[in-house]
Amino acid sequence: MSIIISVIILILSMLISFFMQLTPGTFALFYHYALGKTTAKKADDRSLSFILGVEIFTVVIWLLIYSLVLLFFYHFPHSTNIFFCVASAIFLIEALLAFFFYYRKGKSTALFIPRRVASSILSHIKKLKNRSDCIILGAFIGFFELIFTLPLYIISASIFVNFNFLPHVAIIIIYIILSILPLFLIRSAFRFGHNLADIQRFRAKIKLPVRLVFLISFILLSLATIYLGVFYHG
Amino acid sequence: MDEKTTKSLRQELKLHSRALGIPEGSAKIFIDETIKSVDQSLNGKAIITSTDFTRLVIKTLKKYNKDFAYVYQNRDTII
Repeated sequence: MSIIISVIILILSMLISFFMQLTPGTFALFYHYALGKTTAKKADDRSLSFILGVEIFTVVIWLLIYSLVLLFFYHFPHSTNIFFCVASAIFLIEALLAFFFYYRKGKSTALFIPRRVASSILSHIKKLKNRSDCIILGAFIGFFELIFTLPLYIISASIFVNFNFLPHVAIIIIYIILSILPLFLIRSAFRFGHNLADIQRFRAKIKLPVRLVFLISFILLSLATIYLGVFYHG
Repeated sequence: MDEKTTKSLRQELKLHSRALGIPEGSAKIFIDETIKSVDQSLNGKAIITSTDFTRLVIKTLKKYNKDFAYVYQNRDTII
């Protein structure tokens, strides 16, 4: 039963990561401004650099969290149950945070990040000049969403550490692909003639479904981790 | 509307029009007409807030291109 629960936890973590909106929103803005400042070909090239940056961040954060979780369970081998119980409480809080505060009030898709940070990101996007700038922006944007993604990375890493038989590398690769898949979808939308207005209208339309996905997934994650916290015998 | 404001508005609108794929000729007409219309609306007003200014620009842009107006309206609230 614990194996099924751990697989469910991984799937839910991936699902939540897929629906995160800060990186896709920034990417859409980035592509729009790149199209406005340069040619379509250059904008396309720069978008790949942005995606590379996102990938680098995801891989680095994964390796870091995995190492820290490994160290934690090495030093505190009997704390697995407490760990899962604490994680469950965190996911419950995240469920409420994501449902009520992920988007700001109003019709727009303005997110939870402070407005000063949002305008700073926008001014960075406007000033981007070369590929390395795009890679750095892509790599740093994930940092602002860690309040929601960090617990997901930690719980997934702890599942890997405690359930050794799972194909770690394959799952991490799926995780990374899923985190950049929305960016490729937006890139394709731009390439097929859609513009920021179309993408933005779509993002505004899926606001409530995204909030519901977060709420339900985080609650299920909380239930699944509390199950492991109570019944897991490593 | 002072020269600095006109210049920055023109630059911003030009960037958005290029990104939206609006043909250059049409974009120039939209932008010129928008600036003219906003300028006329502001004439005689001693104080104007930035919200009022943005609203005027959006109102005029809507007449020409809805996507253009939508992007300008939402440019600060996408993330």
